[in-house]
Amino acid sequence: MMGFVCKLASWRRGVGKASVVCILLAVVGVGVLPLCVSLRFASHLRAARQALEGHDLVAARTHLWLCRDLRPGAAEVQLLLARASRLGGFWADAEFRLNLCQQLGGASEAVALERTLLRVQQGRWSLALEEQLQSYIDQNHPELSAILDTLSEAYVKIYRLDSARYCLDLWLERQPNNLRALLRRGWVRERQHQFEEAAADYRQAVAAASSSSPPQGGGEEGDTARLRLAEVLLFLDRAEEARSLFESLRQQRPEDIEVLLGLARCFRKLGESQAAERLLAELVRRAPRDSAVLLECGRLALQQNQLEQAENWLRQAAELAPYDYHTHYTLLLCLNQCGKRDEAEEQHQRVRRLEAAMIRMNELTDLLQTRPYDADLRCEIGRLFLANGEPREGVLWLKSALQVAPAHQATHQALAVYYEQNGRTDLAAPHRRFLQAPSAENYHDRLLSQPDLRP
Amino acid sequence: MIVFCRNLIYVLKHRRLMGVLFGLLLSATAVYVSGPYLRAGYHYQAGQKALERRAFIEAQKHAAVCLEVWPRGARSHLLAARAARRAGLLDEAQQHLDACPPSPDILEERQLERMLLQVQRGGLAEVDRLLRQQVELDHPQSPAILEVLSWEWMRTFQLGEALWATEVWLQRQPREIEALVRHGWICEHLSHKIDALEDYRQALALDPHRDPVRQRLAEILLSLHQDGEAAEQFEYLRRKRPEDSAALLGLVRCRIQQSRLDEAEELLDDLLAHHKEVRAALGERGRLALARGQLEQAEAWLRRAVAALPHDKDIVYNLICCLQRQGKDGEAEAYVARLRQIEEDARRMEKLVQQVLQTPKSAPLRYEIGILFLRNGFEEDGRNWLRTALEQDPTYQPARQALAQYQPTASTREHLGER
Repeated sequence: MMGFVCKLASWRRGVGKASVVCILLAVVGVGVLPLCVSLRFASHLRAARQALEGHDLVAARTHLWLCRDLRPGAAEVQLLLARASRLGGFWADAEFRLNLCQQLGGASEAVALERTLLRVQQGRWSLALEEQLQSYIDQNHPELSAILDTLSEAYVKIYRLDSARYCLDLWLERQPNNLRALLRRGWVRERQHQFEEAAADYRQAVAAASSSSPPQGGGEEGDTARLRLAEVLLFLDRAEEARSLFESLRQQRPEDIEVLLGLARCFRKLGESQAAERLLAELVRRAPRDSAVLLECGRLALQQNQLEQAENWLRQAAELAPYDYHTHYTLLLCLNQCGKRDEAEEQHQRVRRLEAAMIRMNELTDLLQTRPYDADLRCEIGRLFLANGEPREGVLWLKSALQVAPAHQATHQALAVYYEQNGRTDLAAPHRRFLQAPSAENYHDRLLSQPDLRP
Repeated sequence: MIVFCRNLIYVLKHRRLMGVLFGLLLSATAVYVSGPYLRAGYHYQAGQKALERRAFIEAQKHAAVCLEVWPRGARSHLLAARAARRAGLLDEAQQHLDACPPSPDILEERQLERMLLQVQRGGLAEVDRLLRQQVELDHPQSPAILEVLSWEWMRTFQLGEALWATEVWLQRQPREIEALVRHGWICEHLSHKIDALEDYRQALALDPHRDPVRQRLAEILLSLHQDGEAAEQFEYLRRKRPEDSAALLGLVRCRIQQSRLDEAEELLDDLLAHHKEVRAALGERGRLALARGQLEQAEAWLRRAVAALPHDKDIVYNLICCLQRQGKDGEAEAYVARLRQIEEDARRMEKLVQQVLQTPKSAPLRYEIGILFLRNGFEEDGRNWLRTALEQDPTYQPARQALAQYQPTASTREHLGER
């Protein structure tokens, strides 16, 4: 009996202790829960920032959405979401999130910077905007890498190669192994005909991609760097080195037509005609209407002195790429070798026209480096693109002319004609109305908001 | 009193009992204080679930309870606004959104809700791009966005866009009945009848009580000459809703197609006895008589049908056949010209609809379709197309003039009233 009473007493003491422990745990839990939320939030925010720096937008967005679920009113999350959307080309969403960030009391300077970068990315250039960004660069802004990234990309888009180069050099001074910067500078140097320097950039990019862990850009940019390097080496007639790069790329991307075509070109340049022939036969089977593949077939046949076959291939390629200078030039060589004088003469005229257009385009892009806000220049580039079978580029350039000078008559005329010729009278109508009554209304915003005018 | 005091002293002497009483008192107070909030919390959850089930009125009721407890509650107002918008009560939705306090926690949701409301009010152009991007970015509210976008695009016959919206919606929610039904409707209008059939079948498998969907399914089956299955569906509908004239008419058509003419006649008698307003029944009566070789009777019925529905291709065709079989070629000739016009209009319409799919924002195209509809007796459709022409270009005068000219006739108003 006494034992039972003792057990009961000890049980009651145990229950009492357990109750105290439970209450303490509850109190600690209430205090710790927000701390856990904060820690989780901070960790995801950090991960999102890292992902954004590495341009891994999907991962960044995933982390940011988790952050948003944890703290729906956090302005910083909206700012980073805006950046992710801007970098991904979701500009309307970026704008929306910047407004939200502002309403949530986000840092006004950060919002202003992001808005400026958004405008740059949208191609809404102005002198004031450029000056503002230059001042950020001069001040060595904490977000300088992001600024240079956006700015250089935007300059590349509008072919202001010197300005792009300036930004990229600065960016690479700060981050010498930044893969994206190296790739972009290589691209710019190619366009500036500095092929050795471009190869050096690509080579460094390949090294940076292989040394970074995890691979920058998810490994894809590393492949791009190798592909670009191989292409440039091929152009510089270092076919042996290019071949080893293409071979290694082929192992990873056995279906990639660009890689296989590059390899076929290497084989041709190295005199391995049979290997080139086999590869090209495979390529023709897979992509029978790829003008670059057909051109290569023509070149190989020409090299093997199979003139009839070469002409056949080159004619097909020329039909598919009516504005490609190299294709038409190779066809001209072929016709000359075939002794078809009349046809060669006709082809010669075509090549001269293409050559003239190319020279004029080079002149215009050179002028553009010093006169970036010249609407006449932009309009002419746009028209040249339209005339040379690149309507998307053409419309973009014409649009950029209207951004610089909304009342530019020649641009309105060019757009109206282009749309009418393509059966889009609805899109042509506002330009026609403007031409009829140029001072009556400011069509600027309305025209630029047309979906097909956006890049 | 003495007893009470004695009890009190007893309680005070026994501390454990006092503890129990104190605990009970505390619990009662807690329940009294938190009760309304618990109730509101329950209704908030129930409201969300009702919205998921598309029970909008029920969701509104739950939201109203929440608002009684939390009249300034941002989430309650948001719930009420969503329910009202989806129920089509746009002004009410606007009021709730205006009354919704600017809480940072729901700022994004509130902005999004405002945009959806704007779209339902016809202001898609301003937010089109942003909403598409939310879908592309897989925003948690994507299904709600797609619901609104698909409806708006269906309304303005931008079927390419609407198809995209419903397809994405179904990728995210493969068992969403509304998405299946809309996808089916779009496929039907793009003449992809087999796909539409599949969608409607899936929708009915998920919810067999959707009678309008069953009606559409049966009509497509009938048009594809799958008479047996079509008849089963119409019979199901007739059993469920004996007063439904559309199901009965469908069944009549099935029976005629199946050559079960006696049954068809019986059904037609029933139909005409109870639904005098169903003008198409006259045509079926004529068709039946024609099938039986009762040419005089057929002519009489078909003439009445043509008078009631002068632009119905099948009726005019049957009348021509009937007249020709009686050797009344002269009279038939007048109807042949009408039939040609109807067929010409149909061809033109098909072409225009294809064009409008390519250039959905063209006001002249929409105007022409509207005029064709009006000319063929589809007044409501015609006016809708004219309205969408004006939505695309508010300055387009021909559409404005045509709309002013074609006011709803008394019969149309009556017909719409019936609907």
